Formats: sequence, C-alpha cells, structure tokens
Amino acid sequence: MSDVDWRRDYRQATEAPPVGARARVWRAMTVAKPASRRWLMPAFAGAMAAGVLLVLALWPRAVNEARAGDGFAYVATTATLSREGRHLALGAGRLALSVWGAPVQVDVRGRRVEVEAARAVVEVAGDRVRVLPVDGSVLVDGERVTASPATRAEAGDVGALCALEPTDAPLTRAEARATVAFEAGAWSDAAAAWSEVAASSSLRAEVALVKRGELELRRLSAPEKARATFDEAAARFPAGSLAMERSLSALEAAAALADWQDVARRTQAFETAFPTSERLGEVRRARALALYALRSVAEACEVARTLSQPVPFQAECASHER
Amino acid sequence: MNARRHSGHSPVDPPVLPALATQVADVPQEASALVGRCRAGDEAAWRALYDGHFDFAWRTARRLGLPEADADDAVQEAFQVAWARLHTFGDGRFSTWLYRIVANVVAARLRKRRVRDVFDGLFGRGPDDAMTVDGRLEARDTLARVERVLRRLSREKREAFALHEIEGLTHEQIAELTGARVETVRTRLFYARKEFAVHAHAMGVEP
Repeated sequence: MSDVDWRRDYRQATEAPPVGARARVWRAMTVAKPASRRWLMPAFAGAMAAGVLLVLALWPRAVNEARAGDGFAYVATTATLSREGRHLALGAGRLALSVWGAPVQVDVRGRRVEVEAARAVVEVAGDRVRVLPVDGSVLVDGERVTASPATRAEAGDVGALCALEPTDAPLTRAEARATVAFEAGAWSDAAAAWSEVAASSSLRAEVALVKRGELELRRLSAPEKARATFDEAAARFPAGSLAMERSLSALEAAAALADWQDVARRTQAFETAFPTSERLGEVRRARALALYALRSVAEACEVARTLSQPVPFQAECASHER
Repeated sequence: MNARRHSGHSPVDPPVLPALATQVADVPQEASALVGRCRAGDEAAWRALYDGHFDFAWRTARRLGLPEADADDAVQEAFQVAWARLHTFGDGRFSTWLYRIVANVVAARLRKRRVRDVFDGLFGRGPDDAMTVDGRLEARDTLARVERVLRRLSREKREAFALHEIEGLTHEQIAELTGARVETVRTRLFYARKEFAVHAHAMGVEP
C-alpha cells in the first residue's frame, strides 16, 4: 500500500458522518441525559468501599491490647476479643484479667467465666480453654476455681497486668474478696482476705485487722487468735478510729477465754481510755464479774454498787457489807 | 465502504483552518451570536450551532483515531459538555473551542479502550481476539489498521500527526488549535511520525 493510498482512503472514509447520524445523535442528546446518571458509578464505588471498610472493621482480628479502668484491667495477647461494658468475648489467644471492682464476665468458646475480686488468665489453645486463677477465685460455668501454686505457675507472668492496676487495686480486691467470702459463709477465706489487707501499711489495715478479729471471735471460735489480732491492732494503731470497738471485742475475747485477770485489766484500761463511753456500764459489770471470779469479792461488790442493774452475787455483797 | 455517507455540508469559513473549514460553518460573528442566544436559553440557536458543527465534530473524532462505532456517542458527549460549559466560551473561534472538547472526549474514550484491551489481554483475549467476525474482516482494511496505529500513539502525538498528515494543517494552525507552541508541535510531529512508522510497518501500512 502506497503513501498516497492510505491517506486518501482514510480521508475519504472519515470525511462525513453516516446518513442520519446528526438527527440520531440529536434525538439521543435531547431524550437521554447520561450526565444525570454520572453519580451512579461513584456512588456504587463509594458504597462498595464503605462495605469493605465495615467488614474489615468488624472482622475479628488477633490483637495485642491492654486496657484499664472502671474496676478492671486486662492484657490481651494475640487474641480475638470484643468488649461491651463489663462483658468480654474471647475467641482465641490469651487474656490476663484483673478485677477489683464490679464483676466481669468473659465468654470463651461457649463457656462463661465470672471474675470478681480476682486475677486470672484465660487461654484458648486450639480447641482447649484454660482458666487459671492467679489470685482469688473465679466461677467457670458456675463452678468455683481457686488460685493455687499450680494455677499461678501455669498462668505465667502477669507483670504487664499488675502495671495497669492502680496501686491500691490488690487491697481493694482483697477487701472485695473478703466481703464475697463472708456473704458465702466462707469464714476462713474471708479472714485470709482480711489478713492480706491487714498486712499492708495502709490505714485500711486497721479495719482489716478488726474485721479479721471479729471473724475469729464470732465465726471461727478462736478467741485466742481474736485477742491477738485485736492486740496487734492496738499496737499498730494506738489512736485508731476503731479503738473503742476493738477494745470491747478484745474484752469479749478475754472473757470467752475465762482469762479473768485479763478481763479485769482490760476493763480498767477501758474506763481510763473511754470515761464517757455509753458502753461503760457493760464494761463495769464485766469488771465486777471478773473480780468476783478472781475472788476479790469486796472489790467486785464495790464495782457492783455503781451499777444500775443487780449482779448475780448481789446477796453475797449484802452479807459482806454487814 | 462509504455508501452510507452523505455530502450535505454547511457554508464555509476559509481563513485559518483550510482543510477543516471546507466543511465548517464557523463564521465568528455568526457563531458568537448563536452562542449568545444559547446562553439566553434559545434552543433553536443551539440546534443551529449543533447542525453547523456536527460534521466537523464527527470528522474530528474519527480522524483522531476513534472507531466509527464510538463516533456517535463521542460526538453526543462532546456536545453535551459544550452545552454545559457554554458559559466558559470566550471570544475565540467556536470550532477551535469545540475541537478541544472533542479531542478531550476522544482521548478519554481511547484511554478507556486501551484499559479494556489490557483487561481482555489478562484473560487471554487480546484486542484482536476480542473482535467480532465483522471486526476481523474490517481489520483487513487500511482504515481499521490506520485507526489502530493512531490509537497506539499518545494523545499529543496523535493530534499532531492526524491534523498534519490527514487534515493537512500547518504547524502554526495545529498550534492554534491545540493550544501548544509551534516548536512543541514540530517536536511532537517528529516523534509521532517515527512512532507511527514503527507501528504502521508492523501492521502492514506503508507510512
């Protein structure tokens, strides 16, 4: 094909539009308005992109996440985790959880783990779910599992979790645990929990000591221990806000032990320390009885004279006076 | 091949674009007056402007390498764009302004066509394989082969080549039409010829 040929042919072929093209295009232009539908494609693309983003956002992903606040903290490691308030759902990975406020519920592979005033690790490895209390106890499908050296060892390091807790979280947790145990009638557990708080240098230790002493005196039938606990409280917090209650309880412990010498000594100390106490009458009565038990009848009768109610040995006092 | 074509054309405007102007009604005063009436919402004026420039627009689209099957749609789109942007038309020649719109529309359509060809290639159907039986027959024609060679050039080179080699415009006229400098047009033309020769040789067209 020569030079002249293609140029000539091309010019001829493209010289004029086909017959009727002008009218056809005019009709199309005046009837159809493609421009009006131009928004369709961007709108469709936008909707698709939004859909993809939504799916990506909602798709469960393995994450490392650490959060604290509202009475609990957790560290999730390569976990698929969702959270709604105090309700966590763990699909996979490891969750170390510390609760010092209201209880937190963890749903994991169809099982329900309730954590209250405790630290625990929940792990999903393959099809296996492991719940390992580190501190306190948790309910797994309603069954209580308590921390032990074995579960602590299996749970491994929870240092990152401790770093998230407020400094007084262990105390708050122990107090909450003591309350839970008390309400459940687990007196020993409650006393042990109070011991944890009492071991701290916080002012809350005084309350913990008194509460533990009360448990030992009234629930655990251990007046000897109770008296030692109240004495410890008196030694550590001589001007404590619970001094009067603690002194009365120590007095009760001594009486339960029939240690009349000690009762007499404590009643005298009470009268000196709290001369205006409304419980003074009861304390004096206890002193009179203790002195009588110690066979100091004259002294006992002298105390009894100051009491408004008669004592059991009232007749003996009358003959003694004569 | 061109039995369907007619040769009814509008009056002429020879001064700047001799080849194109042989069939374009673009007397500046008349076109400006029509544009003025269009802006005032006169549809009859728009129809007159359309009738006077349809052949020019169609021919421009075809000579820039657009296949005949796409030409009607491209011209329709170009006139719709022109109508929407009529307020931006200044003091120049209406045909020059319309040419740029048509060239833009053609460039966009050829770009989409190239993308489509690439996608067809991805699935094992090259642009040649994708043709219909009629297309295959047509591809044997010089016309189709020239179109395909033109489509392979970049927009700037294609315009320079088509306006010079097919329309017969001078460098200065092409510069005015495309808004480029004369030196730039010369450079584009130089490279366009070289590139056209390579592609044309491969397709059996003698450059």
